[in-house]
Amino acid sequence: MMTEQQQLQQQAAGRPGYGGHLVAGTTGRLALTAVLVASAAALQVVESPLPRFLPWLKPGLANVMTLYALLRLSASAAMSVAVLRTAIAALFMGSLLSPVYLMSFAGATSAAASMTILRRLFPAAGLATLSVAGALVNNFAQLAVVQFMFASNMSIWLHLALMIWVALPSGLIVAKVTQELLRRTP
Amino acid sequence: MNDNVPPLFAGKHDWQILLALLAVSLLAWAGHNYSSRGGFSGACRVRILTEPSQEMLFSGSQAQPVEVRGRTGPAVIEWGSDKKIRIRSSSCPCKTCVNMGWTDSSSLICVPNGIVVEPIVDDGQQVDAVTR
Repeated sequence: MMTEQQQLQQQAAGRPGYGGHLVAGTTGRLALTAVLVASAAALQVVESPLPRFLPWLKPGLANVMTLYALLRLSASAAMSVAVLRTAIAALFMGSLLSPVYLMSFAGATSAAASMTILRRLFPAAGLATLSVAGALVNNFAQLAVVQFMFASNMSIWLHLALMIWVALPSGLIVAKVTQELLRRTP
Repeated sequence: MNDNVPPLFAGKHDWQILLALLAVSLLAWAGHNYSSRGGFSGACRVRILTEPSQEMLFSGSQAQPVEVRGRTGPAVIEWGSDKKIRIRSSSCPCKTCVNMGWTDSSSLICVPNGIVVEPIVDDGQQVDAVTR
């Protein structure tokens, strides 16, 4: 006779994901999503005023929570983290519905969507690939918002080369931190 | 400790995707260098997206930096000795526009401050400055 806990663990074991065991039960998943949203928003607020030596060069540690949610929970949880953390961080920084918020929103949701698609297309893809692709699409989406809202010609896209090089280290940092987080959480 | 974690690099797909990204980056870099060639004289269009919006047209490099006022405060646009342009300072919080440095081809955009600096490579203007 299986206990309810064993049934939930067995149910969770059939789902794709990583970790010692997946979070079973609606309440547990909801609670973990809320923790990830709060952590991601806090990281985004804390990271925002840090000095940058190159334009767009920041670790993007809030994406750790999105990637963690994608691997440990689901694609919808990852998208929830991306949507909610940008809104909460914008509320704290007083930039809700400003162009800066729209850039952040477009970048975070595009990154979550791209990592989800990449994981579906290449289930064996490593964390670094998922994360670098997410960082790159994040930058790309932000550039698209700037192009749509501000630019009158296409010369803004000449920054793409630098943005790709910047996405590589930040993506690798996010991948390594996510890997450690997965390793250290049950 | 949980040992059931995905690796950073799992297989050949990872390297193929990363190499494709590097190839795109090199192509973009080549495009940037190609567009940077040519006779840039320091001419640029500066748009300030406040209410009402303003537009300034400079037909060549200016000896003195120009200060403009955007949404969050003042910003200073400067021309270098090689006629390249940069946003020297801005009152925006992130300073991304300042960190973008000198340019003679790609636009400089300060999103929080609503300032757009667009270099004009084909210099057909014969005026010093126009504002509206």
